[in-house]
Amino acid sequence: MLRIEVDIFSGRPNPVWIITDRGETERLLGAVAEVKGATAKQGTGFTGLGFREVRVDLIADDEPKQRRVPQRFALASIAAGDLKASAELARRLIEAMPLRSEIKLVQHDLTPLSGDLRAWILERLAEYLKRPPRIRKPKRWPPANPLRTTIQDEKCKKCEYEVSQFNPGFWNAPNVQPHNNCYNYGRNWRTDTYAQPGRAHGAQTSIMQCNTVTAAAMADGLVKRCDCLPISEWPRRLVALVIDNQAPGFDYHWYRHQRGGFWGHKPGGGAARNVDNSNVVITNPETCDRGRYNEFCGYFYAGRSVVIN
Amino acid sequence: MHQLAGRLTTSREAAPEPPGLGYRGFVYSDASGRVRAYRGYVQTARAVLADPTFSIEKYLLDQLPAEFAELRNRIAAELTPK
Repeated sequence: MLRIEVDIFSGRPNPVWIITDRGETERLLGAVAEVKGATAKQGTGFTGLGFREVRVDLIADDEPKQRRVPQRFALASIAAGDLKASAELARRLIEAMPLRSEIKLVQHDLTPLSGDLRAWILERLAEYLKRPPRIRKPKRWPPANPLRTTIQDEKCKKCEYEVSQFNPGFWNAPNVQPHNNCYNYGRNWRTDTYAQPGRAHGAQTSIMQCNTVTAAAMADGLVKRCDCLPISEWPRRLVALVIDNQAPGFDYHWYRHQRGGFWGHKPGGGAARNVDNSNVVITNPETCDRGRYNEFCGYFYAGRSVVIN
Repeated sequence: MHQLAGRLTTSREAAPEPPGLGYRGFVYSDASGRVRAYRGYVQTARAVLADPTFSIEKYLLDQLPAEFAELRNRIAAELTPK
């Protein structure tokens, strides 16, 4: 299954649809695999107004792996090695956009799929290709930040991630604390929307179990620990997911690894902290006092491309 | 709610601190501001009231909408002194 998003709008939601057809999925991924330089990392091309790229996400964890086909990538991005070939693949994808998606996504409320929309996108793509915008490359990457440190993952030495200075004051301000929860804290993104795993990508779950919350969070872009994130995903967080799993499953909770070897978290609309239910500093989220959140689901990395809402 | 709260007396003890994870009481707002009822204590902006019969929490528990039925037993089990 593939999630396709044309990154083109600024205010309203981008056009999004899901490809469930196995043959269509294989054809597209096969075509992508054949072209060297067809893909780019999402969000690394043009970031201004207008057509930016077509985003493709593999949303099942068991798609056959193909050389040169990452789990998520962009087509028609000016960051692609071969923009012309990449744009041709994007054009074919857009031409195959369903006019009535079988899967109703939240984005369709404001951006329904239609023939007019498809024609308009193709027009914008053609204009974009006529005069491709230029990327302004940052001078230094990653930029210096005294509040973050890059460390090697002790569980998988090949991977690195960033730990931040514990900064509860940011989260515990009266205008911030009630509107942000453990998922906001884990991702380190103040949305003020009480973010839910998967909601930003139409993949929210109401079933509070390890597998469902994991799937929802991975739809937002989290990856399992030891699936190393590149430095372009800086700052990368190590987070842990636990569940209060008394039938039928009540709730989930996230922790984030901080600089200093301990873990921070923010229980619901309460204060951010680095202690567990016994007021002990959390050095291991697997063994700390978590009250009834007794199921430990696992660790994940959350890079900069993880979008939550 | 006002009638129930009117029967409570000021507590000499501080209200217990709710844990990070798990039941942290009922939070509501009235004209005086934000109020937390937790484990037999009602913390208002001005005072801590003792509620040894958990009257406020039990009343609010009874008002739980049907969709939170699964939570009812969980919370009821928490309504014991800490």
